Amino acid sequence: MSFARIARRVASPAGLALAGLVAVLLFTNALPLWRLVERAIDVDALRWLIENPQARRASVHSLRVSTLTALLATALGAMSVFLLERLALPGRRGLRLLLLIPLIVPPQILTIAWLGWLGPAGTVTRAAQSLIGAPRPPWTLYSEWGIVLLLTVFALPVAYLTLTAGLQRLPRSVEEAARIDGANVLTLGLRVVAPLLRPYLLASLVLTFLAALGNFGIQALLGIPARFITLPTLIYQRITSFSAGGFAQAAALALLMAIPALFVLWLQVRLNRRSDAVESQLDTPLRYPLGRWRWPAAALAWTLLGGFVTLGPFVSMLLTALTRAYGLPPRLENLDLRHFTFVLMELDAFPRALQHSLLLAGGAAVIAALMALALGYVLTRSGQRGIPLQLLVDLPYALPGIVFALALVLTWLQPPIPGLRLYGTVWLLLLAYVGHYLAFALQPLGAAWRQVDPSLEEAGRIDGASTLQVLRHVLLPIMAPTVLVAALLVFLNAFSELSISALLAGSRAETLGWLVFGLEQAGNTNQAAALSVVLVAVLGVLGLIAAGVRRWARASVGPAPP
Amino acid sequence: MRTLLTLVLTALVGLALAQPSGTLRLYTSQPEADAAATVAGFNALHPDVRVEVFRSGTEQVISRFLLEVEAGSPQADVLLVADAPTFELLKARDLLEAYVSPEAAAIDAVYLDPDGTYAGTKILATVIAYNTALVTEPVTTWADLAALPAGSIAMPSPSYSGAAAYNLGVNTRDDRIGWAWYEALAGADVLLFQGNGAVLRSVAGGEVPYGIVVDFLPIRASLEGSPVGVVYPDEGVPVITEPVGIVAGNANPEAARAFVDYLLSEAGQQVAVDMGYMPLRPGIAAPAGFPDLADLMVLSADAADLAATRDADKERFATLFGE
Repeated sequence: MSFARIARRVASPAGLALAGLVAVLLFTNALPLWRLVERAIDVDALRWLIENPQARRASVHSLRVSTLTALLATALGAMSVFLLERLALPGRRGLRLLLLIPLIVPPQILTIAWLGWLGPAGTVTRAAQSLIGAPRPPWTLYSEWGIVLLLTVFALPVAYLTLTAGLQRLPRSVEEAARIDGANVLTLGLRVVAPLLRPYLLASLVLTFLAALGNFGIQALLGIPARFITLPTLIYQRITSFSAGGFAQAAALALLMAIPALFVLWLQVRLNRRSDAVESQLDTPLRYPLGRWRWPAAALAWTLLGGFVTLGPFVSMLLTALTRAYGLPPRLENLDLRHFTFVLMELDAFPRALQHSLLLAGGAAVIAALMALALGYVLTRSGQRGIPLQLLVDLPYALPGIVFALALVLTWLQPPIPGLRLYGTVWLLLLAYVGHYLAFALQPLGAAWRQVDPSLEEAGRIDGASTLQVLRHVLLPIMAPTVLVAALLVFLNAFSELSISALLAGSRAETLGWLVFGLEQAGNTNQAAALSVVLVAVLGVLGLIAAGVRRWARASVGPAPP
Repeated sequence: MRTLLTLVLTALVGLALAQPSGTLRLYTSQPEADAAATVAGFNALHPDVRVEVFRSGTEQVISRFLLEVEAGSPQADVLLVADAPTFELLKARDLLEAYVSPEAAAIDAVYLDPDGTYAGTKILATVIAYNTALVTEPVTTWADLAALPAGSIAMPSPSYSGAAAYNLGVNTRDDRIGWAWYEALAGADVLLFQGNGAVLRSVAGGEVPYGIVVDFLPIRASLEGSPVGVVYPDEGVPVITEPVGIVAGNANPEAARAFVDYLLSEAGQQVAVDMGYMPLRPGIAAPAGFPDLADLMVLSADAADLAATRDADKERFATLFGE
């Protein structure tokens, strides 16, 4: 390629956009990761890594729970998507909202809620114990299985949203044709829909794997009592040992986490090679009537998915928020609103934190979704050559928040661009959220691009349309619903982010997650629970407003895509 | 007349100069509300100092500070975090500035660094907490606690909690407790947690009848109505002191010293009492639910010695408990 041609390419709008994208990615992802690599290249740290039996044990444990979680969450996610998006199940809208709660509540608080539900003194445990007359609880959440269960609950909404994005784009003609050919629902699901959803199933597996790998809150709360060490808990232990080589050891461990992440991405690219492009149409979604199974199916879905997985723990969290003091039985005389009054009226930092979190999560969602839209396009067209770029995006998410936050401290303490002082301001948090959650936006968007037939673009070009015109009139309308899902995933996660905020939130740069962490840490579990309930309520109200706006827009414009 | 005016003006200017001013950057592990009260009390005395606070867990605060040091620009002037051993680590790396506050004369030397690099600000004793719904006659000694049936006790793990690591060092140096006591606990299927907050939750929530935990948590919870009680065991209690220390080469030494003076002064100690902590300055009454400082039997050990064996102690514990 001649220099002039390269120059022309770079100067084109697409080239400029790409250059800007790379520049942002450099600061959000590349530099912080490079700082970690610098620290990890240390003879003592590497020797420790190889010789220490704890590091080996933690790696094996982490791989096991992450793999199990990815498989379980994706399988359950696929079932939920089928139930809620393809069957005419009564009350599916409510269930859909309930399913998202575990994503909004910070993992630490989610785990405490589950301990109140299935823990040694939890509601269900007590009931089961008295039912079988056992002297001790029949199970314990403080175990490997407890960790897998909680990680699955935490990752389920991620799998659900990712797979929904795929199903939305599946033309109903495919399923209708199969039905006419006499396929029953099971055959249809396994032989027709699943292969077409392959990019999304893989995206879901990757995302839930990374989510489980890097989660600290759940693994610390359940794993330390179980004496089940994992990479995030070991990393935390090394950092907080404050010994001379501690941080180098943590950085080396963090880089160790890149190996499974790399393997998973390589597998994804390999398996995706055979996936087919689907001619995407935006039509009204298909719903299979359930006939007389309508109510039994609804009852089952509500009991298991709504009741056991979401409502039970949520009610246990609500009761904690309403109980006067922690540990009192939830009788009427012990309940009042004092913790809510405290959070809403007396906690000075709350309005500021709410404002920061809304702006930061909103900003990160928009920026990450747009970046991922462009990145997804580039990556889809570059095959295996794109793996390093993909790793650059995914790795910050696979790392525990505290490591990524410390890497950002190292990057921004002395501004890489002279004069650009972000340290101690909310802008550093915005940068951190974009870097950390970009993977969330990229996975569904990458899968979506993979299904766009390149012939669409070629057809546009042949008709004489410019790149921008093709993008605006052909590609963007197809991609829009997935962009929304990607932005939603980032927003919900960032809204109550805790580990990064706990390290980077400075004076007057508070966030909601930081506030929850502070209350929880001071031993005010009831107040932390009340604040978490408020978070869920705020997002519930936002969700209702969004639904209202959509309905209003649809009514005033006429029939619109779903 | 003119000379008088000049004199008054000079005196005023002199006063203004003596008053610390500017910005003071405080890194602390105090809970949000407590940090705000501490700063408000300081500003009542020194209204011209603008205090910028970074607050988080001790672990988060110190790891951020240490990285800032490594990168060559520490962002804190004063540190106020949980325990003396953490300050010993900082002292060993020459990160602290020596300052002997005039207020320190009133305080027991046990709670002060002999070289003046840090000073305790309050008493946080580690005690036995129990669930009042599950236990009517609680044990009264550490020895009896270790003899309870398996699965009765929760405690913070020294691998994750600085305070628990300190207790480990102190307890294993005591003849009546020692490693034998920890070996008994290891055999009794103790539930280990990341920190004190989780231990309190486990006890108050009825997961286990007993917990080993820092005293102000169960005392506060019990005042609010949680079903927990507190026992100060007969053998004595290890104590951490939430010390304050001035960062070497800080940007505002005058304000930093004034802040240390304030924390150790009667006014500052009273602010700690109002927040529900036990003061370490004699003559100031402890808040409701706490024993008097004079009645407290404190287990202690040489801080530098503790720091020297800290890593080895932690490792021995982790092996013993199969962490």
